[in-house]
Amino acid sequence: MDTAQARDHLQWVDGIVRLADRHLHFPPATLVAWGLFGAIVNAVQWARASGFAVPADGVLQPPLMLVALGVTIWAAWRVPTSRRTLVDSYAGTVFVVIFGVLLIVNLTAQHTVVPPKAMGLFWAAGLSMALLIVGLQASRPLLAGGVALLGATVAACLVPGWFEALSALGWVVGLVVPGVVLARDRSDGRAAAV
Amino acid sequence: MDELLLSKVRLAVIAQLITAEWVTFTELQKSIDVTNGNLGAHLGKLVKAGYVKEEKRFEGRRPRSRYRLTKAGRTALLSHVAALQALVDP
Repeated sequence: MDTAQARDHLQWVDGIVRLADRHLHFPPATLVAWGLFGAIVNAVQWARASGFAVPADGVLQPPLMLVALGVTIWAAWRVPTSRRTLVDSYAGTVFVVIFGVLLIVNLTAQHTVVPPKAMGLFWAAGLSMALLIVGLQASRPLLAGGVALLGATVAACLVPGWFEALSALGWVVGLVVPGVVLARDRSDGRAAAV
Repeated sequence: MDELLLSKVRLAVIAQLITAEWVTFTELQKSIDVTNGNLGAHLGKLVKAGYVKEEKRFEGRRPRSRYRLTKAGRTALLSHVAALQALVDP
């Protein structure tokens, strides 16, 4: 093999590795489901704070969470199975760990040591971290979602009277919108990553 | 330099697999743009050399083969790329 051939082969490998590394096959339905879950929970709390009669958290949240979990499992089965990239594994780990920690804290701390508002803040901050980490590595829609959710959370803290409304908006813009963008992308997030 | 990886198709297969946990035959064929028969022959050589592991499974009723890079395959690619780099930039 001569130098020109060696250079050609190196460029060939480099092109494949660089392109494939950025592929993320994230199920958009999962983002939409959890985005709607967060938005509904916050919207209900906002309605309660505004004096409307709404169901108690204990009645409303468990079924909604079960629906979101069901959609997550269903969406995981529907992910294209032609390839599972290292970015996919990494993204899965990030979301599962952050979601798991938040769920454990939610189940153990809410109504005992942490008020609902603080718990809402934990969820939004945790999910925005996950979106930012995965988004920075592999997906512009997820990155934009992370920035939007974090921005809405900061805004909600700065304007406490609108905390729940701004949080609900953050969940929609931060998760539902990126989910819709990814769903519209025919290549399941691949092009969106570039 | 690894004789087996002097083929551009086999090199592409190994490069595709190093970036993924596993890749199906169909996806490899699409990515590398070779015929089924050609890809099958190259994959056969890589499997025989122990660079790639083949897994046959069913998705619904359709049989599917998917491929993973082995430790030996990873080491071979890294050594081969190092040898290519040494040739380009001595």
